[in-house]
Amino acid sequence: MVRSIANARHRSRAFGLVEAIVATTGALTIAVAVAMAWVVVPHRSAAASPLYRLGADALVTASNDSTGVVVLQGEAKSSRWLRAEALVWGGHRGEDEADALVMSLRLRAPRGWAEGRLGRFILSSGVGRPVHLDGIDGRVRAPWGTTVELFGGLPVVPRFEARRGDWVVGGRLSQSLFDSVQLGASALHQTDASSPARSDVGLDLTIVPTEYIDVVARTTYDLLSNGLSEALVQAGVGLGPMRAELFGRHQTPARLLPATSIFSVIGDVPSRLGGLRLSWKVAPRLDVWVTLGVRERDRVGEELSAKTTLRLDDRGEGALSLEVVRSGMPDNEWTGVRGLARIPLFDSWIARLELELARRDDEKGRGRTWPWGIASLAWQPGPWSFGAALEAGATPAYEYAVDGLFRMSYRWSAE
Amino acid sequence: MMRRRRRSFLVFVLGAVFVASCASVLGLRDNTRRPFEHRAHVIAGVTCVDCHGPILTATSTTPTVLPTNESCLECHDKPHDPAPCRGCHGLPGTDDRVAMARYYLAYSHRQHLIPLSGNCARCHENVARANDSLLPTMATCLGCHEHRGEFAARDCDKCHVAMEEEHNRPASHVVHEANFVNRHGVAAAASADLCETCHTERDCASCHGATTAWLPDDFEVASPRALHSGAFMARHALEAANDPGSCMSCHAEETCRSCHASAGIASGSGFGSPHPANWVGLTANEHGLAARRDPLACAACHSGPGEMLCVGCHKVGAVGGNPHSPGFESSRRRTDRPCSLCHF
Repeated sequence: MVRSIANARHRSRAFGLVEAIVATTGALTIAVAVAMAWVVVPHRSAAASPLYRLGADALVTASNDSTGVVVLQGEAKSSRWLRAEALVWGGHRGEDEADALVMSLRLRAPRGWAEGRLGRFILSSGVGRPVHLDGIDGRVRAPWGTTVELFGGLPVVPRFEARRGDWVVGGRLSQSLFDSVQLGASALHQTDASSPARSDVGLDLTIVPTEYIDVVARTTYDLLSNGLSEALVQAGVGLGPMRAELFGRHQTPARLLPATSIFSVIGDVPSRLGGLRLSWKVAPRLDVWVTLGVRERDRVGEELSAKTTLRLDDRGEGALSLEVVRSGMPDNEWTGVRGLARIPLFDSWIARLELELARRDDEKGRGRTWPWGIASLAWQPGPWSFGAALEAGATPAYEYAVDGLFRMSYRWSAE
Repeated sequence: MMRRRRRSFLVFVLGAVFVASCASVLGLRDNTRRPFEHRAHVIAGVTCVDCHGPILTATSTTPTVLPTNESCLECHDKPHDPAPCRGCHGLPGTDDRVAMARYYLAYSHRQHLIPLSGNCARCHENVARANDSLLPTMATCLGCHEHRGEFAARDCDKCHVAMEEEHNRPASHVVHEANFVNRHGVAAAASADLCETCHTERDCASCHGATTAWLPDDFEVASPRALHSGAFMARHALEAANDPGSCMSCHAEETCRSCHASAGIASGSGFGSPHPANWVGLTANEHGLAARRDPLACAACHSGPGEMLCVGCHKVGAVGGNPHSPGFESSRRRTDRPCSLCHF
């Protein structure tokens, strides 16, 4: 970890002192702030019983290229208005790596009229894809249903690396109507090395007229390439144990790439997907899902799947599952079947066996049938969790591969 | 005649056993446990506090107050079975539900008893039915406590002390069925604050993060992997090609590039080109069609410095010619990349 941070600092100097300071000291400052929030604030708050959770996982694979990672995570809710969360990891896969996934401090006004996040977090606000951000995000709600959200910061680059002129800024304005409709408009602008990399505006709509019907839709327009980059709509109807859902999606992959890529200029074939999903709780322990879809790229193909799960007990700790998938896009047609059995044994032991067979219609020199399987055993005595698994399979890249997986976890929580 | 009747009887018995077995496996019927007879006790004049006495002083931190064997034996002094009463009189899962409610809900019975004049049935309305699941629904709470403001402000913490751990799925406004992963993005984009009432940052970041560790997804040994399930490594090229753009929802190009480089199937990895013959040629230009169909697949190896690889051929005067499709327009300045690669 120390070595990795030292490497990050070394690389940062190559890009500029200011960025290095922002990235490394910024992250350290956030870490300190989170730590202070954990330790100091709870003792001053008597409004609610605080919650603390800590967790540690050690994961190792045993194969030709052995790898391992340690994950540390913590969460503290000192009161109704303050919550802190962090997850850091370090490990070895070819070379030493370490990074922070989350380090965020969440503040909230007592009655929820305003809230904010500070640190490293995932931002999902209206337009396009979520952004992993080192920055700040604030939201204010008015009593008449209007919500204003503003955010800004630096897009996260692995290992605290900094690049000159990378930043993100944007916001979203939404209005709730009649407790059943929410309409939002949003904008996001991102630069990459001081050049505009993404400039999107979007609209989103959520309608829930009754508890049985819901409709959500979202569209994103790319201002840099002047075109629709994404449009999605889903409408669901739930009737007792059944739910039916119509869905449609239009994506232009060229506009989803960073705008600095040459492919944003030459790629111009959008893909469309539409269909119907059905879910049915046939019996208290038996569920069935079916998807009937059609995908269009430059040609049309079917996307079909069916899955059923039978829980062996009321808690669902034991289960049997079977899934069949068919993807019929020309040149890439394949069919797959997967079966799973999860059996609770005794005294917190769980055994699991999962097998899959995927078969493509034409070989194309990479093998036609790809089997895969994993057999595992887990033991969860109290806050500890131990697991071991053996995974084997064949892929287009390997005739066969066998991996051993081992996991040891500890979870601690207190009020 | 006799033999046929006997055979029919045998088939009938076997069929009945089979149906009964299926019903039990599917959770339609339980052979050993039955709902606790709340209604019968009420009709017999047994009050709630006769069995649940400590409820009178129960606060939000008091342990659950389910009756013990001893409290049953105060009336039923000659039990028909020495086994614990609630081992049969009470459906499986009831104790768990009560314990979870006690742990995750900030609720004080003592505070409610006075305004409700000790009328337990005002909330536990199922007591009038032959059902032992007496936990009030949230709709019952809303019958007195109008929470419009709390809903609008996502202010759930007052009652739900740890929703991110409670996993109590909302019954109406959000449905998290098994295929929710397919459509969670559009819901999160419109109502991220609603998601945040239950989910922590790491729930999102474990997939959408730029610094996600590489191993944890492989280690859910006790439960199936949610997204990249099964032999995804074998299928991922097909899935990426069939659903261009979907990978970029979570992954940066670096994810593809580093993995392909370590597997020796990327450009510059010293393992030769992974492309078939005539991939780039004068008679069969397969790569052009593939690039337009799925630029993300190409970007896995050829973006970044690879842009120059394209521009070397795809420029006016070179063999690839003008890369722009008919009608192409852009609001970018010519000094921006990638325009500046040619239009300098």
